[in-house]
Amino acid sequence: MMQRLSLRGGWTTFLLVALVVFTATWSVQWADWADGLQILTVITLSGLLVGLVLAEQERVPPVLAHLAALVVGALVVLYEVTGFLSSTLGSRTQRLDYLWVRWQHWFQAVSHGQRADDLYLFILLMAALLWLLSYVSVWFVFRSHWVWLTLLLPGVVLLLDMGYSDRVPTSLVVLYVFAAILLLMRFTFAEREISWRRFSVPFPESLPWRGFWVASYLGLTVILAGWVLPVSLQSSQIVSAWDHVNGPWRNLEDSFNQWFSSLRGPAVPGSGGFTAFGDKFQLGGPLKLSNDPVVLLKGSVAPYLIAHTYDVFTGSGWQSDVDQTFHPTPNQTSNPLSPLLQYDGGQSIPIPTSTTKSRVSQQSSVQILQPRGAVIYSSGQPSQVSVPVQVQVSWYTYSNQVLDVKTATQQSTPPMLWPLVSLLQSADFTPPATPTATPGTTSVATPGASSVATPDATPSTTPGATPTATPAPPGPPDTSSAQRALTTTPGITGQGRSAQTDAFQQRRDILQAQRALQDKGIQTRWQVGSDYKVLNMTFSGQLPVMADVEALYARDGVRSGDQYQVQSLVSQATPAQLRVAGTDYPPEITQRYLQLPAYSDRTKALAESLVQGRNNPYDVAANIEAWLRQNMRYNENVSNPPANRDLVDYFLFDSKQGYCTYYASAMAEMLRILGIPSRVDVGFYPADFDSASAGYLYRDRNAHAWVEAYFPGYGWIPFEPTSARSPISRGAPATSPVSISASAAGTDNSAAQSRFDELQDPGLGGGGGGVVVTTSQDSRLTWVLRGGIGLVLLGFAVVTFLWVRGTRGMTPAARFFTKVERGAGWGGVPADPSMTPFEYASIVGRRMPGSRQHVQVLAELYVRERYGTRPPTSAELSRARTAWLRLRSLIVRYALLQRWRVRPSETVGDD
Amino acid sequence: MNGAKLAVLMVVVLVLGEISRWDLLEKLFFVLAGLFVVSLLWSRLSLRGLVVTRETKADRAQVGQALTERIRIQNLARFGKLWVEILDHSDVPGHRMSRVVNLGGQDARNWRVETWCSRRGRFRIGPITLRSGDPFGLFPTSRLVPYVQELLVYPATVELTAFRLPVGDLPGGNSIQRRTPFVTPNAAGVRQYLPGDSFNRMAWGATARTGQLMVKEFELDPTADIWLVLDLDGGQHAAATRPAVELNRHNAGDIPLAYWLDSTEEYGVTVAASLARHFLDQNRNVGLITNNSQPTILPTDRGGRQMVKILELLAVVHADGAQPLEETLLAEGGNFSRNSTVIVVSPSTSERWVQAVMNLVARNIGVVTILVERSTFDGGEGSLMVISDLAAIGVPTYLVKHGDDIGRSLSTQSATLLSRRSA
Repeated sequence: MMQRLSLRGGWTTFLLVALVVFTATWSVQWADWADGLQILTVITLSGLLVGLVLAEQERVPPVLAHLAALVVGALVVLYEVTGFLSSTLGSRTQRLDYLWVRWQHWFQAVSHGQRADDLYLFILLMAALLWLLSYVSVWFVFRSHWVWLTLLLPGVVLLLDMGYSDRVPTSLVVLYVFAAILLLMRFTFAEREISWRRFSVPFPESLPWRGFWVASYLGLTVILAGWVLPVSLQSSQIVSAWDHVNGPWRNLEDSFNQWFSSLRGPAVPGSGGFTAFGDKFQLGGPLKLSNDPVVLLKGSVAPYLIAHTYDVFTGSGWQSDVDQTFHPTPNQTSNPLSPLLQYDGGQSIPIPTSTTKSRVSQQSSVQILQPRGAVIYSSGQPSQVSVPVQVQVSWYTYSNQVLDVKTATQQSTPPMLWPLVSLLQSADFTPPATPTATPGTTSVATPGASSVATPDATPSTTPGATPTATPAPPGPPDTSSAQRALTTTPGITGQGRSAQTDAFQQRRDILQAQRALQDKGIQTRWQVGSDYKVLNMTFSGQLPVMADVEALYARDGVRSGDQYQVQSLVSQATPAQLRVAGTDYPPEITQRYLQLPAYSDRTKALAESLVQGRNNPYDVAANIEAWLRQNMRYNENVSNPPANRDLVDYFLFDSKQGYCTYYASAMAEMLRILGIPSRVDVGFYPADFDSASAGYLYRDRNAHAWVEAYFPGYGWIPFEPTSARSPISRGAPATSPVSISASAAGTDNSAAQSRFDELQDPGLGGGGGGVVVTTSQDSRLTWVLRGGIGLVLLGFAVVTFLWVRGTRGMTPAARFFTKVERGAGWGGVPADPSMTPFEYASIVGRRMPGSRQHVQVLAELYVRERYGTRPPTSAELSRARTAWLRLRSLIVRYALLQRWRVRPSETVGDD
Repeated sequence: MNGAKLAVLMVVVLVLGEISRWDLLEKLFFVLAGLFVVSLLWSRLSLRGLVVTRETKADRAQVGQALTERIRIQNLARFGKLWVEILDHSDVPGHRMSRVVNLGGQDARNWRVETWCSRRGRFRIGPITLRSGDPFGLFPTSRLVPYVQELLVYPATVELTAFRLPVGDLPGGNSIQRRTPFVTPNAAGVRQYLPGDSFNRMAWGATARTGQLMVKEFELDPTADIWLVLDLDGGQHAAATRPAVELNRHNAGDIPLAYWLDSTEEYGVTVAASLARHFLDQNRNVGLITNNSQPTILPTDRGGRQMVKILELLAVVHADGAQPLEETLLAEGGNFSRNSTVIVVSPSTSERWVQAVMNLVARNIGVVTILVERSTFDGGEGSLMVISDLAAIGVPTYLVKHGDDIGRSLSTQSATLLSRRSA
């Protein structure tokens, strides 16, 4: 039994292959590109097992094995992917059909160069990729006996995940490297074991485990050494050269972003998590931003560029729950609602008047230099974009909400209701003057009555017939009567046909608009006044909250070099205006923007203490903003907070230092504690004007997070709690930062000053241009390294001094012999004063193999010069110099090694 | 090769780290560089300070005997060796000296190898290759230990207790009155010592009697020479299609001779060696003629030295000749004196060499034939016609089949039986 279960390559090898492959799988799962990636665990495991079974069947030809693997892999992947779908979609076959239709649409969109978005396809691709990765990894090791691809492929996947997501911990790379080193060692020994067994060469059974331990220690040592080595090899020249030739890679990134535009990320390698501008981000860790240009903006001012806003604070990060506010309407027959609102290029994005007080339009021309997904940047409440966009807004379900039809305007009316409301405003439900009774029709409307349209009442017309109004008793009809009035009555003729036709057409349009809303799950009814005009309309159902735009996405994706114009409404509300805005927050705002995680009592106490003396939300918000700017220290290199700690509490009371996301989180949480709706925005803070580009050049280091608070009538008003940034001036559009000293007066903002200086001169960034914040630990290591180098140099100088000491002025022969005495003495062959030069040369020749002839030459020359009368000739000196050069290496080697050398009685080569 | 792959990987990681300014890739580069350096150093030190000693007991052996070797590998360095592979390049069949050892600092390993000599021939013992390297297989290293020794394996000989030359035809008994410088069992007389005479010829009894140094004189054996003619014509030999004895785990260390006698060539050589030993043990003059690619005539002689000569010749001969047996008999017939005995060992099924035998018989040369039945090896043509022809001229014939016990096959009884049956 055990014999049958034994593997030629060893189960340990298989387990190590599995560990290496699983690091790639875990990296994809931890990157959290999309929901549903948990199926990758089963996928990977099955790929490993199928690969093992097929690789061990030596009699099965590789082609057949691969075909079988593909079939099994396809079944496993499709089974898992369909299992991930909701069971409400039916059986697995029906789910497969559903996926097939989705993927067809995806391929059509991609083939037409449009922006596509299908997370199920992404999950399928990931599953197929990891299944293949698992299979080939095992196959390469156990069948092809080629370990390098098994080592490299998971590493590539892991690094790609790490490069585009900061959610993958670095420890996973350490684990991967360690496992790969062990696998390399294990594979080497397994191959040798197979060879030894084949040729019946006995070997110690414990050898593999000895090798395992040795490789473990060596692996840990090199990993530790590589990780702590405080040396950087980065070169700005190489980076510059790469920037000139990296077009294809950028294009590939762009294409991928366009194909899977709703993935979470990607972010710039090494950047903070919020700069991905995805659906969520986590706080913590050092902030490392590069100097890469991201956006070039041409306009009169450099505004804050908003990329995304978040409403849910989890205590450790921010995320959006906008998807949960949208509920797909069951049994939609046509024109179903989408959670994303679609707008063509140049089409106005409606903005409710409830948020437009003191807002002015601001237009900017934006050029994308480095895409972040399909995000479109705006500088305030977006009102128009020159390219087709999808607007991500929250949805709110209204119940019997009453709308005054007579006073309604396009701006004050929810955009989905406006077509019906505008029709109702012009509608006249005056009964026809010459009604013709039609059998089967009734008129039931009464002035002052209201009714709800019957869902199944479908208007029908008869070709060639002249529609006419149904006779109605005095009083305006309700919608039901109007609907019934659309029933055609053949043979109607007479005066007033044109007026009747118009009325009929108008009512039919109303009915169609009402049905269109009904298809979207919105029920409407209205009340008609005594003048046969509609007084108000009552509606129920979910509608987009246009005052709550979270993000804009280009419908066709964004590529490097793309340009678009964006028009936004930017608030110019003064503090005085905001102080009197009141607290009449609409429910669709309070529902989302007062959510709070568990917070500490001292956070609440602090928030409440900052309210004292303030009687309006604006003063409260401004006071909190000022307190944070004055009391918290800006530091981009903070370490992660302790596990299970309330991050805001830790920031406010323990560390008291952090960067923009810490400031913004603290302010937003305190505002919400105090009942003021607030949210966190991410994007870019105002950039400097770049004369070469003739615009404001936003770089990666401009990435920023700040806070917006809601003020009734004025909408979302930004606040800047981060002390390293300039405060936002009220009454005029946000402009470029003024002065760092003015912005953070009285605060300890040396880091801010440093960062400000860097921003003034981007070329002064550390290394390749990125912001390099040197930690004290790095400094210590650098000093240790420098000290070590200094010690080595000092030691070298001392040895050199001792080596040449006293030889100046000597004749060459005397100098050579003196150095022989000195070097041999260091090597343990000291010269006794009683010895003659020849005796000493003889001893040295005996002790140092290969030196006898050379030392004899030097001794003879020295003796003759010292005690003879004939000076050495130039030829003799040349020979002596040659002898000395050869002897010198022997002496050095002997001096260095003789302590550790064991007498080589018979070495291998001499056998 | 793997080291080169790692170097390429290092360069790739370094370049990627440079262009992406990603610290992680730099760290990875340093890890890979550390692995590279450590592996290189480990590999360079893995064979330092090793001493290999190889002791082979003898340079001569015989098929069926065990060859014993003692090997010692010593590590003089302070640091241990994780693994050292000692690979032996000897071409002795079945020689299993190779081994993998793990050595501590200043440690040593000894082991003894006993090899069953299964094939005759001249073999090489050594050289040895020491192989080692780093634990990751990045830099394998090896060194050759150029120690080579020659081993000559004689063919096996079988005790032929029942083999007799035909009694009626056995010549000898008459002194041939011919002096010989060799020491023979036949002392012909004594004479006075002359300078140069060997001391082992001193006749001490006569010296004592006569009071002067006396030496013995010898004369040649009164019996006639025995010539062994081994047919090594390549066209007549065949290999067995299957071994005569199946091996199993239990007899792996004591393999019967029949297992190695897997061809008519091996049977012929073994029969010839056994006959030579048999007659030389009887102190007969034995000579050997072979017709392989380098035809060899070993003149008749007696004693142990002749036995060694014959075995050394038979150890290396192969059936690679092109000269038919009848031509060999005709060409070398002049070496056969009257009353000498020629023993022909052949697997040939050709009847033509029977004519040559007939000529020898006509010259009053005794002929005995030993036929190795080729048909029992490869299922080819049988030698019945040859046997009947030989029987017709009264030549005693022994038939040896594949798998037969040679001693039993060469018994006089079986030859007599064969002759009678053929007659």
